[in-house]
Amino acid sequence: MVMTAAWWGLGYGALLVAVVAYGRHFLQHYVFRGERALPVERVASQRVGESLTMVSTILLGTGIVSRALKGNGWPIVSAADAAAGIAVLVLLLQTVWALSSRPDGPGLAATCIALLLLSYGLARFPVAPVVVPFGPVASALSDALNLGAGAFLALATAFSLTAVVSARLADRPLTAGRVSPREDDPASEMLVRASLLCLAVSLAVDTWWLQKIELGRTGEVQQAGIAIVWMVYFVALRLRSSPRWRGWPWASVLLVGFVCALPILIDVPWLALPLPI
Amino acid sequence: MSTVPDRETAARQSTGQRISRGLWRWCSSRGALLVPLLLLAATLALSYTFPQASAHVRSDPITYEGWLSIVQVRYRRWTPLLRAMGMFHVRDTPWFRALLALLTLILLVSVADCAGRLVEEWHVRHREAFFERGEDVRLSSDLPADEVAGRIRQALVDLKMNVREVREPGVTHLLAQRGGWSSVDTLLNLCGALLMVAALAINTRWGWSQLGVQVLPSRPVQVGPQGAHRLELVQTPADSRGAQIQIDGNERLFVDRERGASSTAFRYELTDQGGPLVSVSAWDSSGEPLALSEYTLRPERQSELQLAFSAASEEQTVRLFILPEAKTVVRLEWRNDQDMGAEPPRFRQWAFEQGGQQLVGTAELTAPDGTATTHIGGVTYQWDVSSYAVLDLAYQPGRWLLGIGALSALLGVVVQFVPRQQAWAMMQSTGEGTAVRFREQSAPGDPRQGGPLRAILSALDLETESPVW
Repeated sequence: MVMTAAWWGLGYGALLVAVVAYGRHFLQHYVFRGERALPVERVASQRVGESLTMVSTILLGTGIVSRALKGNGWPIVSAADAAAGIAVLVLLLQTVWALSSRPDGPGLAATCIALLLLSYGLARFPVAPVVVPFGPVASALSDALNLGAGAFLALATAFSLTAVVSARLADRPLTAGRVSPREDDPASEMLVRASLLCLAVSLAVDTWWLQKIELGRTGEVQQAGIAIVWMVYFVALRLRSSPRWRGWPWASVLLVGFVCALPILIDVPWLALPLPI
Repeated sequence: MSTVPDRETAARQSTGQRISRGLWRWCSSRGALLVPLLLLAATLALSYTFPQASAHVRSDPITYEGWLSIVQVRYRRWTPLLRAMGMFHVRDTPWFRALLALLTLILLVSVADCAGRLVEEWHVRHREAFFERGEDVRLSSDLPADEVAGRIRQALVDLKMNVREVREPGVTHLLAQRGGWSSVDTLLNLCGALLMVAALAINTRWGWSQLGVQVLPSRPVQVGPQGAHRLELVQTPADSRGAQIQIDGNERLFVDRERGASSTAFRYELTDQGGPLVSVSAWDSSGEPLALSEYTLRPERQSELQLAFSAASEEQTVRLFILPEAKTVVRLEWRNDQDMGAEPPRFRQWAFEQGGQQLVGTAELTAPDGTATTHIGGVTYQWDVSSYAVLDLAYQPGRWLLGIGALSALLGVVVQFVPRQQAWAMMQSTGEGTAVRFREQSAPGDPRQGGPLRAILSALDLETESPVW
């Protein structure tokens, strides 16, 4: 139990420092503009942020895996676990992005979102290895796909916010009716498409193969919610083909959409809480 | 010569046509879906926020009033207002149905419009919307228009692109595509969305759920808002923690480890299975039957009493009942572990007299073949031991539509990832030769980007500098 707490505690601490490092980089680069004249490159604080994000991902991931191994079951039991799971996946994707030598990543926004999710998760997180017995593969697959969709949406939000804020702070005037290439990040569109893929597979698995009901919980309600989330994001993607919907509108849609979709994806217990009758 | 009424009719028709065309255009526009979808999401959020009365609860006024009295504890004086607004059955309100109907209409029009665009020549001409952006390349050639069109067509065919051509007076349009079949992605996605909405509509109109349905052996239970479905417990096999239940004539074995099962539109979970159900009757020493009643505030005398022991709850292992004529209180304790497996149920019986103060005797009770008899204090007890099951049930007639919709959506999203390359060319005769406007579209980072333009320049023997941008 002590070891499990240590994984989570150290991972959370590393993430906290990573946020500070990314924040320092952001302030240097965009607000105080000490290095604005430089081309976009990895300055020291960004490198620290990337390294600590990687360390945090490893520690938190080990925490989840050790919990599953010690409890001999599926470690995602509650909404808090799901939130923590999404946070770890966001950090993993951000690490992969940074490792692939992409200079201009959404480090600050991604780590901030992960920190918020992890804080919610750890606030209600039992350190003891609470797990559910491994059931049908479809059940774990459905949960994992929902977490994956949440992580993709979180990262898409981070990308679009980073692009919009950095373009504004860099004081790039926008031509009327057009979006500056900097303000519109095509990666966010690709990530939303990936999340739509995850949601569609999850819904298909849930309705075709996963024969669970869990009426006392929110199985049916979650299905309806996922269907609506899928449709809203599909429409948002269609709208994005018009330049008017790129930039700030797109970032706003992603931010609001993520905040609204998160309770459905992590299946918070207050969704359609049944009365005892 | 047209008369005045004819002209009015014509004007009315054209107005009607204008309205219908405008409606069609609005319904098939990209933004039309957004408003009803956001309203639907907000409505669903309301249904998540407030407790929802299931259909079977609402079908029985007494049960519904009982349910509302529980709700009133939570919402106090706001309860009547929330009830009037339909907040406790959001998905069964007229405005929710109207919203689904509107969404269905918009999606139907969008699907039809999208399918129409796929087959018609609109794609090939792709007029002003494409060329007005100023992102096209303008070329001029001394060759006649037919010759230019032929060369461009051949160049694009050599790039293994599928070329379609539309000729209009003085103008020739070409559309070349690679992976063009993947343009069905929007259609697939729209079909998926339509099916999902249809599934939601069907489930909210005809679906229901019912928790804690107790199924006893040889006692069929009617479930659903109108009691349209019949459940009957066939048996609870001793070698598995499950129950064999007949649902509308179809037998199914439910095993706890499955964590639920489904059949056609039903989904159900066995929440309690194999718990013993004890039927007891009693006689005095002269062979006269004795009445029995449960140990409650208002006991009802019965010739036979049924006592259910839950396999899912550790607290419900003891039952009390009274023999009023013999002035006896009987305590029956179920003594198996909860996870008894194939072991037959074991009980211990205590009989008390004088208001439960004096112990008359005890007896061990096992019923390997389902029946047992005990004698305590001049009373003979006849025990029939069987099992019962408790199910959570949901009827979702739109479940399969939701699944097909999800698969269609999945296919649509997968197809979106297929790299697509498109190129348009418009050739117009001028007095001295031919003017060509050309544009290509590829996925960002596609290494084939620029290939069609290079091929066309080569085919028309034009240098890179010659095009007018």
